[in-house]
Amino acid sequence: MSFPKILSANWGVPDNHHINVAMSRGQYDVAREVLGGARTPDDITAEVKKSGLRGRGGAGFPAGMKWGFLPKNDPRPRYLVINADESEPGTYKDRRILENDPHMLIEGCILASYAIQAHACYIYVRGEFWHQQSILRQAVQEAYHKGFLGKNCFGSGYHLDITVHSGAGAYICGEETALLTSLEGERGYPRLKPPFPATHGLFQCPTVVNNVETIANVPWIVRHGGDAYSQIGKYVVGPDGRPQVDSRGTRLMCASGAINKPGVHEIPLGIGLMEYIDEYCGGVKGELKAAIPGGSSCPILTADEVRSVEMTYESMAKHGTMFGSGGLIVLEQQTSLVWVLHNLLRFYSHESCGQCTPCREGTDWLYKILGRMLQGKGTEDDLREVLDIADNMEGRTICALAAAATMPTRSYIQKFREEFVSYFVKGGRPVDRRGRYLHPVAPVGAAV
Amino acid sequence: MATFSLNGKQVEAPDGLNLIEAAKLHGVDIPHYCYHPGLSVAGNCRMCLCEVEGARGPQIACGQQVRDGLVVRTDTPAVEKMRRGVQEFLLLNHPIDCPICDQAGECRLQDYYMEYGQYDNRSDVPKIQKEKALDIGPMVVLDQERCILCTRCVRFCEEISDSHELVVTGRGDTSVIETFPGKDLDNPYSGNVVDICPVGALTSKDFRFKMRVWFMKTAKSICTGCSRGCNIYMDHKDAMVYRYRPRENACVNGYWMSDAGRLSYKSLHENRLPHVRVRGVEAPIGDALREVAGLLEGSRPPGAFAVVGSAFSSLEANAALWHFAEAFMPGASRFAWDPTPAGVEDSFLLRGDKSPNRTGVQYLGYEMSREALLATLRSPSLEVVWVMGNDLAQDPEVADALRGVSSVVYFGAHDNATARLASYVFPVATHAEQLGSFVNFQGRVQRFFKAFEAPGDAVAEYELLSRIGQWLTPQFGWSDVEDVWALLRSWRTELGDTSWYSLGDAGYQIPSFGEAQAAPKGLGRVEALAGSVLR
Repeated sequence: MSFPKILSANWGVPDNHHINVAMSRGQYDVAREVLGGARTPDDITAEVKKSGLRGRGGAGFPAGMKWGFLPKNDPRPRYLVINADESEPGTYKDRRILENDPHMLIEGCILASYAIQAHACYIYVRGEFWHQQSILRQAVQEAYHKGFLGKNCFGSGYHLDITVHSGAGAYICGEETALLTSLEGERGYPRLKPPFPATHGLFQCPTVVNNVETIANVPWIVRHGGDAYSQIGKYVVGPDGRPQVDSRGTRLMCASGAINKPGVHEIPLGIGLMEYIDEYCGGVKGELKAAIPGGSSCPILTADEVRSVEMTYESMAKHGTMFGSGGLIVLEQQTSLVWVLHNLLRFYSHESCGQCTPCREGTDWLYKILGRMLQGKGTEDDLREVLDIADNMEGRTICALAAAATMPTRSYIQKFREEFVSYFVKGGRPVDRRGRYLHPVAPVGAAV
Repeated sequence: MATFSLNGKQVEAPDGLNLIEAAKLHGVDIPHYCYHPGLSVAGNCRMCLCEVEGARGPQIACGQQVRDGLVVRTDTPAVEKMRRGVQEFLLLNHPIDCPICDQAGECRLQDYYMEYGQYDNRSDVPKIQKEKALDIGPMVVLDQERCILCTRCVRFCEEISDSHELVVTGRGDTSVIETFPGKDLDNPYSGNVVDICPVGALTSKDFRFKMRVWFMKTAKSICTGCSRGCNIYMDHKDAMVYRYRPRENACVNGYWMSDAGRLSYKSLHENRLPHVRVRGVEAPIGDALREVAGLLEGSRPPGAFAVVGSAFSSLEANAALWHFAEAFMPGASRFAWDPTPAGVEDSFLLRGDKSPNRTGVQYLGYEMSREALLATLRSPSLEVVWVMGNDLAQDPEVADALRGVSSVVYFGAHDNATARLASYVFPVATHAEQLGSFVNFQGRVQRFFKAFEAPGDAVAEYELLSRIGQWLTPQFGWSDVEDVWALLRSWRTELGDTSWYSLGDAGYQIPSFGEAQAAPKGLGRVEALAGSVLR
């Protein structure tokens, strides 16, 4: 289907990260107009609300609604914080935005800051993204030099400072409250909620935390209107003439794994997952076994489910998984899911911040048990134990990292139990360093 | 007040009160490790999970404030499973070295395992090894393996001592508590982290391996380290004090005490005087009492007597001495000077005045001037001086003057220079060995209780004075502290109809000293109540 490319339109344009190139393609026009007095802050918020734009960081919370939660008539300063701590395994879309179109993000920051009347905006970039950081920092400098940022943006009297802050390489700092704590200079521990960032965020002031991709959509939405954005996508219109799903617009998908064309693709929401794999990713390499649709913390989908799920938040939820951050990982038949889960749990046990007991101890315990299973020393009791430990962890912690480890764990074991059981032989089953069986196996769990 | 439902019962608690505290008011114990009423809420141990109606999933009680209509259950099978789960996680990498752990017997891990754990061990993964017996400061030893990372100690150093020595480093289950690089845990309140540590991770260098806690008994007492008078628990066994622990009093010391005060128990047992001495020779107490009573018989010229009370003795002892002087020493001057120098003072608990009862002796009317005392001691008409508690002879001039007095009667618990130059030495009980009270700098009467019997001949000062007085007037004396308190009441009408036994564990603020003073920062539940310190 045809749709306007919003986020990736200028990717590949030479030197697009320089402000003059970006401006020649119309970047900053909207911000200049808006700050010049063409639109009120409430207007912008209303436009974003109308667009139905949902947060692209993982939780999918409607962006306009989030902005609306800030307390009115509060004397404290307000902050906009951009979450560019993209660390979810399988996800690498924000990094492409930072590399290819940093000015789109900066313009989005100006518009969003204006909408919530923030005069300081922080972009918290993942520590490992040093290259992307240098591009972004240069872009911010250029915007300052042009007078688009600083004391008097576009000569409008509105002032806004954007600070690029580097993380130090912790997955947990992508959790919004941990990000705020880290930004304040403390150890990146998630905070108890409530109070929520909307009322007690950065420096205990009202704060909006948005993902890079979410904010990068804002200039387009303000320019073309929320209605235009909400019409993008493939959805069924109900009898009242309104779309039946709340998943509108485009989003970036990052495909990896057993596909022919891995990469970041901008897709209209609502198309089938299999359609995406076939049309954008060049099809599955080998025989489809399963797919993780939205980053490593999402429950896994079996081949059958992959064929029936649509790329909407609603369809994903109906299939018991999440759209998450759009990091699709496709797994083919020869890949050992025990190995995959073990690999995943190593990540989560390494990245658990250690604040809450269940996650601190549980993630590593699961990892160690999976390690034992991988060596063929597991038993049926171990599987029961793993599920019980997962029960004791999930929903018992301050943030969702424990759930990010347990949701996949549970779904892998429930959906591919035979494969886990097949490991209960002495020595396990040999795999190569990418987790593929050395001795080809008959398809498991797939409709063949 | 808010009405809320706790395990199906409608109960009342102050609006905004922390749920753990509110449940405690109604006899429901919610297990917890990281929550401490004097610190901010961290919510990390997850032991206090409970079911709150309308909430998404289980909620931590320490993060809940009481409000109208709150519906909480802490007794469902689901909650039991959560607690068992958390307990299992906490013990997963715990060394379980209880037999050699100093915390054994007062360890939350042990207590809660018995109460909420009781599962069969199913962990066969290797435990994570961390550092043991780390010397992190003058008071504290750290065992990282036993630590459950509740961060109470870290929060203490941030919020109460404001010294920031302790930090969490590492991530996940390799996280450890450590001192900040280049720093020692050496703030003047560092010993408190041992008290608030719910497990055996932080142990007291002074106390560890000296005594198993289950052998000790505990008495409510008052620290004598300075004029703040921190409320304490005195842990003792076989007439030996092993440690002081702070006892909650929101108006005085909150939940804390200073390290100097904590170690002040040591002086209790040093150089004890067990026996009566007359002119340097041990003597039977009966003979000595009769002889001393003889000093007061007959008529003497004015200026023949002086008494020296003590800011280190109880209010009751000083009151008894005052009354004793009134009764048997016509025209006696009454002093309460002592040579103790002023010490370190800070804006938190430590007071410069290192005596526990100076406000008390001043309240009774004792003359505090050194010059006046010297002039009296040097006066040729002085025949008998009665010294209680203080080691006056530490001051060379006063010592010289004392040598010139024909009879020096000394009441004291410890052997010292004054005792050596006194003609009559009577051992008295320390504050661990009798009932009594001190008046702290705020004008607050705070009681201490008898922990064990005094050694040898030692008895309470008022008892000794009663026995001497009875040689002269058979009806004289007091049978217990309540009698002495009645004497005080007869002197000071503002004490009204108070009685010693009903003064209360939090103390009694003498009205003429004004309202109870505002507690210093971090003191007490007030802050925890407000709920504004969620982090």
